[in-house]
Amino acid sequence: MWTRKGTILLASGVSLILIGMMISNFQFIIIGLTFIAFLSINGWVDGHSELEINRELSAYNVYKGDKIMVDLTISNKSYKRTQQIEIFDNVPHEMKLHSGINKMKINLGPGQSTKISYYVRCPLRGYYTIGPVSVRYRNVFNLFVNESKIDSRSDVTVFPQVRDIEEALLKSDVPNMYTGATTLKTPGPGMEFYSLREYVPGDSFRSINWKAFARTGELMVNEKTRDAVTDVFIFLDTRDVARIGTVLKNSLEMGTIAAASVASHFLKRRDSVALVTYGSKMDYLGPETGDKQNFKILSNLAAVSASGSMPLQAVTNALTSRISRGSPVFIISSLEGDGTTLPAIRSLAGRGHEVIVLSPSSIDLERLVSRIPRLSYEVLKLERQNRLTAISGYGAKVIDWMPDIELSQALMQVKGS
Amino acid sequence: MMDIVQKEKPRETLHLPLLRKKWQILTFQILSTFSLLIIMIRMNNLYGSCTDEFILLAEGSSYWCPAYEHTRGLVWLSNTHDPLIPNFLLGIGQSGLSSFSGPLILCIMVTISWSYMLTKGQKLQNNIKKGVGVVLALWIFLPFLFAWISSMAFNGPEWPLKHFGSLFSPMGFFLELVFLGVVFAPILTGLMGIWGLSRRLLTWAMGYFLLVIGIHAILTFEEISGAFDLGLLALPSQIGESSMMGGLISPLAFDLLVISILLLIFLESGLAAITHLEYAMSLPESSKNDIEYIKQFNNVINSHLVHLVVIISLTSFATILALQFDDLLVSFVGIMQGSQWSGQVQESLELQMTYGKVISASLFMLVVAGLRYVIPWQRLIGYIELNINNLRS
Repeated sequence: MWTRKGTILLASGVSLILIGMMISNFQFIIIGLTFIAFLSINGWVDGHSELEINRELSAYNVYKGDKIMVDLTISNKSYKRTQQIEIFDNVPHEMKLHSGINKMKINLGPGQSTKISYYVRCPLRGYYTIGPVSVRYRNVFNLFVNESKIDSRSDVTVFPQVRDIEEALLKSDVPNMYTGATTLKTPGPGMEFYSLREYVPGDSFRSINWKAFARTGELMVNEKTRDAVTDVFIFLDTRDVARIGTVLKNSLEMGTIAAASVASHFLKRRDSVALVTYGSKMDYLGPETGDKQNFKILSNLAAVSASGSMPLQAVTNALTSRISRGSPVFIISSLEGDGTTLPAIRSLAGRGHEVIVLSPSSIDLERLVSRIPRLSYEVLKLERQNRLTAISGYGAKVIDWMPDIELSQALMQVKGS
Repeated sequence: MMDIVQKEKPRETLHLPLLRKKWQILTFQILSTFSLLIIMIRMNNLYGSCTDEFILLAEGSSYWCPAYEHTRGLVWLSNTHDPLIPNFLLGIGQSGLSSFSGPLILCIMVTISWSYMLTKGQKLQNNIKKGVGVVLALWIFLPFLFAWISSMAFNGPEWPLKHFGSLFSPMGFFLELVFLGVVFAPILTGLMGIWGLSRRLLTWAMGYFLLVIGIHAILTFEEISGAFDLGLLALPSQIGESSMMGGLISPLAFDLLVISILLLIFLESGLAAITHLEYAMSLPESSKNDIEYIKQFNNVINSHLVHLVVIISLTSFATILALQFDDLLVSFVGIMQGSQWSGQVQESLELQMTYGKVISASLFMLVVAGLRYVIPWQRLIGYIELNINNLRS
């Protein structure tokens, strides 16, 4: 493609030749011819993008706020010089360059290679793709430009931040209800011996009881008692209203951090954790323990986005049969725009579940982006307080989570009935 | 004993103060500066200069010199009042190229001060601009106010109308600058563009040169000069016999070609320095110290230098061949002897006149442009380069 300069040079060249011919002026003709000759000869040289690109990342799964180092190795495997080309590694706009830069002007000879190294910070959770690599050939004199893309992509998952809430839970009312809960005498992943059973294909060799094998002549495996003391259910509100606030600070972002932190805390204690997200549709991740479950929960949380308006009661009704008896339930929601919140919580509390409502204050989040008149703010705040008081009246523990308060601090202000 | 581990710093970085001393950047800037100065000299030669003989004849009667020079207007100005700028800096009293030396020194001094000012902080730049404005305002208004108030002190209250003349006393200085500017404006802007790194000023200088050439061409066009003759030296309407470079080019064509090639060198090498420095400036601090970025910067800038030399040389050669292409065509037709058509073509004057020359030159340019599809230049050069590298290693 011709650049503006190239086009101007061509137009000037042709015009000067024509004007020179009209007024018989050889200076004009020769300047015009020189411009055209300059363009023609520059046309002989062309850049190319037959490059081998190899991108390496310091991590493919990171937590929100973490940094990733990107190393992009560019090699010219062809027999031609690349000429002056600009390499630009496409970084999603949600990621911020921390140090270094994702572009370089290069001119690689045959067989030569170079490396671009830069760091990106990931301030927003989600699934992102770094790449493809844009290659822009620019003629040395900026007469022609040609853009192409090399399809080299690297996927990155940014999990929500996991905050340490252990101390907060120790100091608050929340953990008291779980300590000493009944051990589930069922086989599952754990430490304590449960029973012996026959080997079936797929069982780990490490679990084979070799003494029993020597004694009986048949392969036997050890079964362990499931370590989890209980199942914890986390309900995360991902409805459209959850986007109230700024990009970095809104109900959904606060909720994902809370869900990830709570899940991580209980999974560390070898409890089973289930995650339910509801917005445009309901996603249910059944109760499991271990690192794998932690990864699944974090992955699910990385993918959630605010949309839809599914009522909480529809979710609790659908899951009634699946929620283990007596399991504690965390509801993380701003409680805005859902008339079914009260009956849903009443129903859960009625079935004997310990319900903890962690509610990011959407009115205060709204204030971060728009000006709310003082009187309106007071009224809205009062309405919210009434709603929270009503919920705590049904036996739920309610946390009014202000945007400027850390999760651990918020958890310490658990208010019960 | 404490071990002090020092991180190895690269010997060169991409910081502006270092890059401005880099030989490649300096080469671009010096090349551009020399081209600019040579353009001025060549144009003075080509479009006529004010000879001593002319000045001797014209002294006291005419201040018009049909040439690309500035002293005649300044001489006229110096007769009405003493110039503020010293005569040696204006070039008064000198003739030919020596009259250019004073104004050139002035242009260089202005460029150095301006470039130096650009390296200082924005606040200082603003203060200097304000200071210059205040001095200028005082220079214009102070004599007027002084004359008016002192007159009122002796003669009593009066309207300031009769003192308005003193408001125009600095006008002489501005006129000196205007007369100098006619010839030296492109030189000053060109120098400021090259050393002050301004694309706008570079293109402005290029545009000014083309404008001068254009105005000269129009004023020397037969139809115009017939009605309104300024005595300007017109370029010959025929390109002349090719007697240079083994019969490839005529002396006139060579002179004209030199000006157009110098214009290209001036613009392209000036822009090259700016482009590369701009790129280096756009890099973050960590990349400026990154050895890979430094290596590639050197790669890019070296190849730019090679391109400039090779492509400008080829452009000159291609233009020379294009201007001679009509002769080749006529000779080619001449080979086919015997036919009436070939005889007619050989004797055709049109082919050797402006139209024929331009059309044949354009045809040649088409052939040159099409060569990119015939010869794989880059693959060829790349293969050679690869083998040279292999041999070296």
